[in-house]
Formats: sequence, structure tokens, C-alpha cells
Amino acid sequence: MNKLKWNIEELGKDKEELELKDNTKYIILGTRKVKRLKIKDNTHNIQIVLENNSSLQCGTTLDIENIHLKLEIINKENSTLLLQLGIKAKAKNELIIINNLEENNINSQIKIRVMGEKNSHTVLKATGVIKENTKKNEFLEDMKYLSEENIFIECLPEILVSSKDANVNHFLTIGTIKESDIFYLKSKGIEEEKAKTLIRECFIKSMEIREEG
Amino acid sequence: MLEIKNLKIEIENKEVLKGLDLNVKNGEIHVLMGPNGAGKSTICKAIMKYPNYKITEGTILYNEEDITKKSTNEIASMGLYYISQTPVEIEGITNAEALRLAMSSQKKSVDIFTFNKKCTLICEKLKMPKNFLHRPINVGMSGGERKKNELLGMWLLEPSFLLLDEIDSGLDVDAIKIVSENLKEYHEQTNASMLIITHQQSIIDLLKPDYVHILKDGKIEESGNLTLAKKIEKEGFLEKSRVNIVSESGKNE
Repeated sequence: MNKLKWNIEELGKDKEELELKDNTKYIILGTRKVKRLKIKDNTHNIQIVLENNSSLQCGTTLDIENIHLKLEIINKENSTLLLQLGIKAKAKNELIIINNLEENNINSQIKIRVMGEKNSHTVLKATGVIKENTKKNEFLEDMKYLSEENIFIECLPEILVSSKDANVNHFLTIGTIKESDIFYLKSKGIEEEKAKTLIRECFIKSMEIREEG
Repeated sequence: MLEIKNLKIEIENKEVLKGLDLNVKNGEIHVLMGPNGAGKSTICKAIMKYPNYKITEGTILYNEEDITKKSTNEIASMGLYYISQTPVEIEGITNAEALRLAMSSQKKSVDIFTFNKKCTLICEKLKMPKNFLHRPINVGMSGGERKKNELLGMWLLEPSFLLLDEIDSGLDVDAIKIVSENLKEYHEQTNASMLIITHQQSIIDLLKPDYVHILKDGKIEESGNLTLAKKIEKEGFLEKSRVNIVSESGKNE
């Protein structure tokens, strides 16, 4: 079996925008914040490694079109991850996210919102792995999909917990635009189509990291 | 201003309003009271065209224009503003985003500098932190915070008619005071008309309605002034029903 040869890149402190490149392992040392994420075409394999005592906060919207990507995250001792993705999908996509909690005292949170364009087809496989003999780990996976006519979103969540000392939470919601939300916005004078557009856009945008105040 | 004639409403094939007549003139404040299930909330929702509320008969005129067949946003753009008993939470959309879009939809200036300045003054008036503007609509907010949030919209959108469905529900004493004082100030400044569903005497005392109506079984059973509200506060609706039954049968039980 051919072993994948990784390009290794350390994520710089000033790197608020990041374009993910194929076969690249991003090393996080210290505290990092990413506000904008892009995926280069033909990117299939990405790895993010949070080294000991490091922290990564990444909250962004992401436009995807014909993407087949496997993103693997390795969380090491005392690391903190907050990954928030607001995904707007076009055409046919497959996203595989594997989040490994390998050592102790890790706080790892992944929040994903997915919305598709008409006739799009998106498969999202999200796997959380909490390794054996690890302690005091916190894990959260929170996913929401906005379901509409002629949009296909398939979600395959999986959590593998081998540790006896971990706090693991998983939320999955599949919903449509609520009539009561549309009524609320219309009762402020907003036309129905504009109200729906606002709901869709903000559903995705809510994953962006907003500065306080 | 708002004239409702013989309004009949059906919700899921059940008739809830059974021929309602109501006339609210420019600048007037009307209070609507009535026992649970009488159809009070239905009136506000029917005026605003709440989904699945079917008007089977009657007309609603606003400034002499028939709004019976108009859409919710058209009605709002004509100057009617509805605050529901429990305003919904909408994740993702901030108050600022919704209100700026609402203002532009209603052809009001949304210049960011003026908007921010105006919001600062309104937040002070409502005694709410300015960062509420950048929070998702009503998400994680208490009853009082939600109602203040809705009043923020009122001050920005400057409606000419307020439909207030139990604005006092879920509010503590301090919040009731702030909310009712804001409504009074808004009425004094704009001469807006109001249709208020409430049983809260402190709001009634402060706003001094021109008319008080008692709704029962989908119809207005009795109309009067402040004295009627005082009587209901003292005697309740049950007492009133008993008296009616006695008088209909012509003899005491």
C-alpha cells in the first residue's frame, strides 16, 4: 500500500486566511485564529495537527463545488479546537472529517451548517475518535442541515469512544425553513423571497467568528 | 383607521372568530380582554395574515383600503406592527440584519451611521445593552428582553398602528414599567393607534385606553371604557358569565 507523502506547513500567527492545499499537513503551535478558509481545486487530503498546548479557532463560510475531501484532525495534549464551518454546496460533494482526540485534556468542538443549492448532492461523514486510555477530554459535534426541495444532503455521523473518561456530545438537526420565521420577517415588511434568502445566508454565516462588540 | 367588519376566521376547520366588528380610529388605544380561548390572539394574527388562518367572511380595512387579501409584508409596510406573545427565536440572523432589511423594504433610510446612532438612543430608552443588536433574533433571550427587542423594531420602523398580544407576558415588574413607558412615549410622539391584548392593570392605567372590549366566544360581547377593565379586574370573567346565565334564565339559581 502506498503511503501518502505529506507536505508540512506550520500555520503562521498572522494567517487569518487559509487556502487548503492537497496532501498538506498543517501544524498548529500556539494560538491560531482562522477567519476565512478556501479549498483549492483537486484537494483530497488534508491533515491538521494541534500540537501540545495549542489552540485553533476557525470559523468560516465555505463554498464547495465538486469537492471530494478527507480532513483529518489530530488533537494532542491540552489542545483546544473550535472548528465552525458554514458550508454552501453546489453540484456533487463528499466531505469526510475525522477528528482524533489522541491524548488528554483536549477540548474539541466541531460545528457544521450545510445548505445546498438546487440539485446539489452532498455527503458528509463526520467521525469522532476518542482514543483508549485518554483522560478528561471534551468532544462536541453539532451539525445542522437546511433541507429544501431538490437538494440532497446525506449525513453519516459516527463517534468512537474508547476512553472511560470523556464528555462526548453530538447534535444533529435536519430542518426546513420554518413558516413562523418567515412570518416574523414578513411582519416586519420583508418580502417572502427576501426573507428566505436572509434565513439561508445567515444560517451559513452564523458559523463565522464575530468579534465581540 | 382600522375597521373590521363581520370577521369570521377558521383555523384547521374550526371557527374561532364568529363575526367580529371593531373600529379603531386614528390615535385611539383599544384594549381587548377576555377569557382564555376567546380568540383574542386570533384577531392580531388574522389581521397580519398568519399562515393557515382562513378568513371565511368579512373585511378588514386599514385607512379605508381593503387589506383582507393583502400579504403580511404588504400589511406591515402600510404601517401595522405586530408583537406576538412569544416572539420567535431565529438562529443566525442578527437583529441588526433583520431590521436593516426591514427598513430598506419599507423604503426607510438605512444609512449605517444614522442607524447606529438611532439604535444607541433607543437601546438607552429601553435600558438594553447595545450588543443586543448583534445577537441572533431573540435567541437565548428572556421574555423581557424579547419584548424590548420588538420595541426596538417599533422605534426604528415607526409604525402607525400597533397590535400588541400580551406584551406583558413573561415580564418582571421592572420590564413591564419600561415597556409600558416606551409605549406611552411612542403614542405621545407619533399618535399611533394601538390594539392591546392585556389583563395587566398597570399597563392599562398608564396607557389609559379609549375603549375596552370583552371578547367571548369569537365575538365582542361588551365594550366600554376604563371602568370596564376595573370591573373585570375586580370580578373576573367567570363572575360575568354567571350573572348573564342568571339574567337569561330570569331567575336566581
